[in-house]
Amino acid sequence: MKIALIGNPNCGKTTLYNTLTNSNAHVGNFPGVTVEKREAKVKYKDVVYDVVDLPGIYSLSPFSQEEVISRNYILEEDVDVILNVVDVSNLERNLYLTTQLLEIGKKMIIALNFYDVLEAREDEIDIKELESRLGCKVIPISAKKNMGIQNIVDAVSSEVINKKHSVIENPNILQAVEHIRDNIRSKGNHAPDFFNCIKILEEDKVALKYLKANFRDVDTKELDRIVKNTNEKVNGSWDIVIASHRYEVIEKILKIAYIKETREEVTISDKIDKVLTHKIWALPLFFLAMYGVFAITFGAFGSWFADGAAYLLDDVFTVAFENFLVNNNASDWVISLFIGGIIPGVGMVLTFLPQILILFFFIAILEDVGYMARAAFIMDKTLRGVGLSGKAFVPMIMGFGCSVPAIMATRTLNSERDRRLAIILTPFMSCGARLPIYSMFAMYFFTGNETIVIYSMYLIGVVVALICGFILKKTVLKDTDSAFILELPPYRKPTVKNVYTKLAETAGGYMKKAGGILLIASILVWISQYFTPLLQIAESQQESIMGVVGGVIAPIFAPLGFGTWQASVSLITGFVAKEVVVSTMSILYTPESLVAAFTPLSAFSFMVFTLLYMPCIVAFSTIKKEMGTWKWTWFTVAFQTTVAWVVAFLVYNIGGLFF
Amino acid sequence: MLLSELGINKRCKVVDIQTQNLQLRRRILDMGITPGVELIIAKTAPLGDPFEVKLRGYSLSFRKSDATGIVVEEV
Repeated sequence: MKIALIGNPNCGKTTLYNTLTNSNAHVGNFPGVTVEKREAKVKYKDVVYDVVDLPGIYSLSPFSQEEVISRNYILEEDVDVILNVVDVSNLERNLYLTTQLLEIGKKMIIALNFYDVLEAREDEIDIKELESRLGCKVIPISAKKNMGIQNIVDAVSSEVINKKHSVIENPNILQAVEHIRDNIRSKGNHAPDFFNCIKILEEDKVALKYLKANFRDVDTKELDRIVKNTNEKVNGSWDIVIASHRYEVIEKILKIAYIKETREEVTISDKIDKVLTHKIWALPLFFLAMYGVFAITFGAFGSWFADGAAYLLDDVFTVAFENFLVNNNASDWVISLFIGGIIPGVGMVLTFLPQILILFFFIAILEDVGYMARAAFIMDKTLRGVGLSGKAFVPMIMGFGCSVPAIMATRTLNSERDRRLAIILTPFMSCGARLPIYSMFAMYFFTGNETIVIYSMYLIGVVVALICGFILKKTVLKDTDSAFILELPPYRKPTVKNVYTKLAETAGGYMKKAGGILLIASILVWISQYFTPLLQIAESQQESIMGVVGGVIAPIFAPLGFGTWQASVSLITGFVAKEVVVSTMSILYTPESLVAAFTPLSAFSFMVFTLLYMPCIVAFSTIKKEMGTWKWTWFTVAFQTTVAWVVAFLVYNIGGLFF
Repeated sequence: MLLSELGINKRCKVVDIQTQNLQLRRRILDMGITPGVELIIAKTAPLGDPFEVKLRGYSLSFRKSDATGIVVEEV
């Protein structure tokens, strides 16, 4: 049995999905977190239920790509039960989608989410009244607090069916629908469903295609004529008339079913917003808050953890492990493999985990509270100046975590052109994997100034993205005016569960990476520093595979201040995962030789280059998937790497005039 | 008058949607901006655009250029 969760963006579908299926999918308090369907099987009373979580949609006339996914899914897959999740703090607009879903004619259950919030305000909903008006089962729940979940499970497994197929009562609309039905029927077909007939009135192309595919002799011209003729009776186009009517019906229902306490209109969200989106203070506050986050992460507090971890690794674990190997008569090469390869390669990256967790803790809280949508609101004009929609802000922010989900999140953008631009620019947002590189260099070259140096990396990423957006807008991706209509969700208290889930996921992913790809990369790097390209024992590192490959491309990086073969080859191995840059360097360099190989300026230049150059292989394949064509994929990668070279060149050469 | 011309904290009633771009018009309607609905402009972003409207018990942010087809009257 298949159950599809569907509802407006940010109404809590994924939280309910997690509760129903015991999963840990990513949630956040802004529209557009879920961009792909996900499913899980749960067994209840010997029946296996297939629960599907779909991206949020506002209506069934979809706009952006992830909305198309949801619409197609419930229309075309054999969904047995539609579980319509409705946010009670925003009932009127949420029920608009409900009135459309009813018309599909499948068994439907409405889950009134955030019901605890409504009760706390001492409001009340007459559930029985709502059920009779909408003609289907309505269940108050709180997915967050695990309230009412059992009732949903019971309702899903019960035999109740919908008692209405539509709430539309406007005689003009009903008559027009009948006209369309009659027309299709007159060609010897059975009567088409209400849903598709209404969509024909709204001039929906997908519905027309559906009718043509499933019914005999559908005549587009005749249907057009019916739409035009019937439209003369009403004031305005059909889409306006139908949407207005739906909302009128909802208003009428809620007037009876929603019992509201009288109260002042200024909400807590308004008060918070007075400060956070203030005309003058909003932008300074935004940057100050970000600086604060970085100061905690990389200042005294975060450094204490990083230093502690480094101490444990270098002075405790490595020493103890080396003794252990020596005492057990391990051969020299085994000792070298561990002490010179695996432990520095994997361990160095692991020592930065505490700082990554601290940074992600703050990002998780900002997401959960609802600040991200505000950030999009205050930044929209700046982003538009460079050809991006404010909606692109959400994937950009996600890019600070990891480019892969961020690139996928560009699906919320409405036009192909906007998506392409956002995909090219999103990897410039410094992802978590690049953090170990900055931390390592900051530790060796910028003691005391870690916060400002690392913060500047993030700012450089943003500024470069803006400048590149502007350049692309003027050249290959010409501006088309795209709409920006974004819901600003009410602020909500962050939940321990959500923050914990995100941190656990980050830490888990990091450990998995360390135990998998980083381990393998470290071993390969270690081996290839001892063999020549012809697989003979190398007499010096310079002649090894690492040395030769690095040596060949090193001249490219000489103008940037780091033309050594070690630095060059670590940029190549970094393609596997950006952390591998750190692994490679800590195998090829000792701390002393690393300090000798860079100046603070060339170190900074190197950090800038790793920030901007082509993303890791997973991000690369995601870009390919989302761009759809190789042409755009290669363009993206070439563009990013060129930009990285140019910016690092400017940093090194202009910086050289001052330092 | 047009929604995009209305000042902050002004309450108004939507009279007509004249947006020609069909996709944009659908989205405006879907979000509950239909003839007859009352709304308030709550604030504008620091750089003057976009602005936030409150309607049907929730907040929506909007670019001025997207609001040009929305005809309103002050109430």
